[in-house]
Amino acid sequence: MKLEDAKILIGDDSILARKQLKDIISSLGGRNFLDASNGQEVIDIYKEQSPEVVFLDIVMPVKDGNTAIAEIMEFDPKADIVIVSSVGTQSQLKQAIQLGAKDFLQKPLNRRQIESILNNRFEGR
Amino acid sequence: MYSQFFGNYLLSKHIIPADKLISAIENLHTKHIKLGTLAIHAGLMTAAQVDAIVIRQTHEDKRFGELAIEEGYLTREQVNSLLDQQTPDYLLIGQYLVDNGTLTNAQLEDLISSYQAENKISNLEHTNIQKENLQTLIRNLFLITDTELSENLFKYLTLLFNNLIRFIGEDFAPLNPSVCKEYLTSQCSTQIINGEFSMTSYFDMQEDTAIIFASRYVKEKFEEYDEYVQASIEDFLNLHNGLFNVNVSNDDSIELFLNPPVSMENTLISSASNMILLPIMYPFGILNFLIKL
Repeated sequence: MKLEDAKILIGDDSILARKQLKDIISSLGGRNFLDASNGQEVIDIYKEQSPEVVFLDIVMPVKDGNTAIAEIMEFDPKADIVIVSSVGTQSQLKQAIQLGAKDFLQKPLNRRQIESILNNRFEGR
Repeated sequence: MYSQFFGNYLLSKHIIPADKLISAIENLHTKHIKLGTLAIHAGLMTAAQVDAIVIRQTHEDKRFGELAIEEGYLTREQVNSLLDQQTPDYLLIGQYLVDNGTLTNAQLEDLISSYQAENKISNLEHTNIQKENLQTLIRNLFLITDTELSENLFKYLTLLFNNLIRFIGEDFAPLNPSVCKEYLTSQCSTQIINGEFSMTSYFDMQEDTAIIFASRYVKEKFEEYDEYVQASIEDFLNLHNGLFNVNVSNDDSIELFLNPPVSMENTLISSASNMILLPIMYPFGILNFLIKL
């Protein structure tokens, strides 16, 4: 699938973090974005829209990222979830991977890391 | 890192007012350190000797080093060694203040030796940020609050200064911290750290300051206080606290937890116990960090 055709869900309570990630992915060719500002919204939007990839923060209100991963994986065991968090401790990483996350990015955002994650999943422009 | 603390030193000793310090900090990048300033700093020449050479330079077209060698103040090896050294950046502030007439070389000489003595900085190790030096600088900064800095709080503050340099810019000076039981916020974000070490952090600033803070942090120009500017305050605090958790986890195998950050505006924060207020002065305004342990 081409990146421009992929539905990309960004779950982060910071409107700034969502914008920064969206800007980077747009510059790489991404077009279809879905936004969620808490863990529950991420789960609800996932179930409704079945995005190709989810970028997910861990520390979020209502439901945190790890709870969202667990519920999404229960709904769709093939879900492709990438954690983007400022709290990249070993135990957070371990927990997220055990729950089913495929990748883990430590904030601040690094364009090259995002590019590499997208290149592994989608065709370029 | 030293220049920020030297700035605080100059303010707390009432050597210069805040506006002069800001102007010195803003102009640092335009300055190159002079050999005379380095020689005073290294203890190889006195201020009077440097002044004498500077006067000679007004009627002789020779470099400072050549004249200092002629006068027998320095050897050629010493000149070369001084020129090869990395410049401790706090010296640039000192030199700027000499160049614009705020200080004399003699006053700078006294200041350098008292600053080094009080903070146990030796001439030999000034080029690198030594952990012990930084520890002393931070502990001395907080002496005024009569607060015992725990190892974790010290780590938190060290990371804060590093993150400010990394994400916002090094042109700041910490103002003297204080303790308070009440604080009225402007535009503020707060976040709780839980676990073996727990604290509530607040990061507060005026709207005008936040606009420039956000522009620097996001590397985009913001013109007005909007939701992205507000989010940048929250984002910086969340990033800083997250990186702190990662460090504590890596260094001490202790897992701390973060609550989501929350924004507040014109809110009175009160606490039964003392809170530590640390103002950070940038040319564009003051960033206030408040820590409730």
